Amino acid sequence: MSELWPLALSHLRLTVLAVTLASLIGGGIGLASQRSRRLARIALVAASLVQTIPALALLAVMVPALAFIGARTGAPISGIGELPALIGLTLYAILPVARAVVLGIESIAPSVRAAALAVGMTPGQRLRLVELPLAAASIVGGIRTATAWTVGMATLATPVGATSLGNLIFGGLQTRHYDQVALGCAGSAGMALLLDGLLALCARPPQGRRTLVRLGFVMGMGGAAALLAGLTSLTWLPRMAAASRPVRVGAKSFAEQLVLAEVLRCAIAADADAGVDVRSSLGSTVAFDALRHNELDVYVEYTGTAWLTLLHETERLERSALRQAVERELAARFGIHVAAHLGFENAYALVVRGDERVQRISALGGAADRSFGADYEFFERPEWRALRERYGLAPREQRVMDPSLLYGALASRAVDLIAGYTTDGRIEKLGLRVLDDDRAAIPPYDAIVLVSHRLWGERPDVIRRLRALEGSIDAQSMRRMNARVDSGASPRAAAQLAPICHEPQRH
Amino acid sequence: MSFPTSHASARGAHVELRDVSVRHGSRVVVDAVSFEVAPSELIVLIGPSGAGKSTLLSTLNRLVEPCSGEVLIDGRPIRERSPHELRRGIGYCFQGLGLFPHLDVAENIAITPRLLGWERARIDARVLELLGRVGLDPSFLRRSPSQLSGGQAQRVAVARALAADPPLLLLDEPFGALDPHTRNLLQAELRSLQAALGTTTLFVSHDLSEAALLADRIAVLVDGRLVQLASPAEVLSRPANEAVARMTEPALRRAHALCALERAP
Repeated sequence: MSELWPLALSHLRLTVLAVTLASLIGGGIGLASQRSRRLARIALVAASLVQTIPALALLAVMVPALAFIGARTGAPISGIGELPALIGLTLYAILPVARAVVLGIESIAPSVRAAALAVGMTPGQRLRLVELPLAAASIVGGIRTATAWTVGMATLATPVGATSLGNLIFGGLQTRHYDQVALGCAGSAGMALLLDGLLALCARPPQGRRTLVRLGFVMGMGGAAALLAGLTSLTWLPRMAAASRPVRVGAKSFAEQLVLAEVLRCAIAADADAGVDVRSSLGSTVAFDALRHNELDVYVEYTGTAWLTLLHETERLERSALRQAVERELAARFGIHVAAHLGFENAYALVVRGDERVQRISALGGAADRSFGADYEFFERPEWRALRERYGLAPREQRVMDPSLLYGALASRAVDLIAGYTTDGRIEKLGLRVLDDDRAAIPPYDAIVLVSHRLWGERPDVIRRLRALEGSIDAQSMRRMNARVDSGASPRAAAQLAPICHEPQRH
Repeated sequence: MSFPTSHASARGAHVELRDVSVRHGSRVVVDAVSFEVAPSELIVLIGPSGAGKSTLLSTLNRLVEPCSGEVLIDGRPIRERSPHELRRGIGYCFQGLGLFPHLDVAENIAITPRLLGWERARIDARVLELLGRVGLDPSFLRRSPSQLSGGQAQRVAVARALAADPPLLLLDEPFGALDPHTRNLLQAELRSLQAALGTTTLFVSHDLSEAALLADRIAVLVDGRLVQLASPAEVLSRPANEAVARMTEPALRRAHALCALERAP
């Protein structure tokens, strides 16, 4: 697997940087706690509170927060990529380290503390000569805990745009390449064991001051190496030359998006001096926020989602009017442009098993006897509100699951009704039926290529290439590409079905 | 124990306490205690537990600050000196020992000279000399405190207190946790060591026979007040009040009984 190494290295770099930073900050909190009890308590409570936030939410919240700070201060910081991941992971790892320092120092026998005073040590000497060496074993333990957590949690850096072993796990889950999922998990577990073993070496006897020296050496070298590696590839440092900056293509976290990102890559890559950097498995609104702040250059959105979720509009428009309205509003409010309409629609649709007799949503009769499965966001979306209002839907049970599992769950009768996507290849393959939206609750979802304000202004050459995608993919070819991924092909291989990827490129 | 006579003995400090009082909250632990200690003198502070002996001792190296009164060493109020600099000139040894578990015997003994910035060679020579003085052979140098018996650890703690040649030595029931045999041995050794070095010494004990054997003078504390300060002979023969008499009586009775046994045919 040639893609494992770059992912593992990026994962390792992120982990080592986060743990090093957390150790410095956590160590500082631990030491400050020796001076001020109150400060210690406040800091530890704050660190514990951070721990109660789900990791994925903490990382995701960093994206708009950083973008806001960047916009306010004009600082060249990026809300997507390694920086939010690094900050989130660091915040998480602070607590175990700080607590280990505090507990390590507190567990020193009172007689030893008294002796340190009585032989004439200054506070600094007490810390350096007695307290830290005696707390060393506990500190190493805390850093080992922090490292194990961080390695695992760094897989969640993928949805905020950082590269990690999570790319294999998220991507593999969406495309049902479970060998990739296993590889990502095994890689992450292996890395955790490796780093833990390395840190365990630091705590071998003779302990005390030498433990600290070894720890300082290992973490110093690790941190420096990670930083050096980062200087050459960190995505959040401002690039010097705009022209050589790769075009950053985004993909949300489902298979079709991964395929379309590869289609966009085909369209752009033929352009001689433009590299392409694909950020896959981004959280749903993470991609749009990033595009808005010029931290992502291009991704594929759907008109219905743009209208309802991104623009917060509720007016109901027919297909072509909606396209025009979305295009107009995105440009006016965010400076975001639509480079092309791909030519297919991927709408939410209510889907049942093929052996049922119902054809229309209105025939479900409120679905009171049904268990209803949908993706993570569906029940929060305006479409669901509209469906409930127009059809009086009140299913027996609402179940949220990963979109890749929905169709299987329906086919195996785990649920009786799902909110699927019209272009999914599995509808046909599993013999499922899309219900007719006879009261028009669900708006049109034309696939459109969104382009950031910056790319629009800076790279007319790339825009020209993206325009060539106009009308180039119809619903059937999208379904075919999705079906390819379902039957084991990589998104990149599936994308080869798109005309732009196999036609000789014109210049 | 034998001592090299060539050792230039440190000049003992002159110590003066003036109306020293210590309060823990509203409770008066030490109540207006005044006395002087002559250079090279060994004074044992005795009294029932809770009498304020250890607290009084701790005011001398500023581990406890008096709420009123002052302590002078060689005529200078110790309040004017920084605590760590003051403590480097005072040997301190207490029942809990507090040997540093992450340092070996040599490093433990060397700690105060190291803080004082002595040269390496001088420290090494000093550690070796002290180890001999407290009756341990050089094979102990690299041992960890956890590998020592109670008596050995106690000797190391005494050596550490003496390492920087302090003019003043504070000992807080240093032999309290030892078996009687080791305890007698160390008491005798301490007495001759102190005589040879000329270090002014304050020694806290709750045991009158220990006090009588060691002390130039005994200071008796009851409820934080100094009730008698006199030679062991005087304290035993003329206790200042009822409370002191209650302390001396059992010790004397024991001694008489032993003498009677010895004289018996």
